[in-house]
Amino acid sequence: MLKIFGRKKSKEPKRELLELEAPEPVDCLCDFTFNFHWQHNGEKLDPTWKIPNNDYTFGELVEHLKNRGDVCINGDVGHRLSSSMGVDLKYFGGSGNDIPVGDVYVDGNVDTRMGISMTRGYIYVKGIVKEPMGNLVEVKSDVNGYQKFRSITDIIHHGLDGDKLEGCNLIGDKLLIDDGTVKDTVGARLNHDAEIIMNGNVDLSTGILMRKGTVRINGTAGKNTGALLNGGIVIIDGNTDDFTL
Amino acid sequence: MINGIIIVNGDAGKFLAANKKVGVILAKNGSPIPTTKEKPLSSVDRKLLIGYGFSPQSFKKFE
Repeated sequence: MLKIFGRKKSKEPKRELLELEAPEPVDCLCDFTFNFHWQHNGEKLDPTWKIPNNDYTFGELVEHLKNRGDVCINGDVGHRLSSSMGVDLKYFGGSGNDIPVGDVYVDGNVDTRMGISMTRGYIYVKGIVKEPMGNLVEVKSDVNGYQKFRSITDIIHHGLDGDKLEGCNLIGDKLLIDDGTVKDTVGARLNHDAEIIMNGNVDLSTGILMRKGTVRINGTAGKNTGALLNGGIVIIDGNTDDFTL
Repeated sequence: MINGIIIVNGDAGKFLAANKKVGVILAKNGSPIPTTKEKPLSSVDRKLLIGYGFSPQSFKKFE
């Protein structure tokens, strides 16, 4: 059972907590895209599938988060945790906009690509987060023993809301990231005339689905830079890998 | 890329602009996919590059 020691008292009503046992790491937990469902039509993952060693389905986790409930995962987690978390995806009949969601707690380690294209909510992790991670920066945690991560895009769109950044600075509409981590999807779905400047190399899909603003990477970038870019400017002060779009 | 601008102060790699609809890529090198073509920089492109602290001389425009 998750014990949230030392957490600040919130004015929000108490949220429902869904607890999940994870005796082995499972990929795509809390993944709002269900492993990019539109690419495989449910052959690789479908919302109706049961999570291994659990009675919950992958879809129930996402719906719980959409209903502002929290999810606690007891154990290690696989790749792409909380992918596109906070996006009401058009593919599934949604508005395409971001929506408030609950938070995710992991009391073990998390594999790569946690929080790619994520726009809302928090992820708390007790163990190690393997890089590259997604569109996330660390903020000062309010839960003892857990690191706390928040979407870069969320910070730009909704402000710090009392959070204190670790390894980053927000000055007006300019977010400076210098935390030494490698990230995917930096600035995903940014729709605000703001500037994100990151010192260091990045991996996949920088600026994916951006509509406004500027993302500048002072380093190299991986594949699919500017994927589905729909406005704004992506600047890479270095080389990019193939499929720059 | 549906729209927007990508600036790469270096080599933008192979299969450049494979899914580009509109928008511009400014890079020093890159191998574009047809129908994207290499074009000369306009004065607007030069100003943009200078504005972001880059020297336009060695840049190419892929549009």
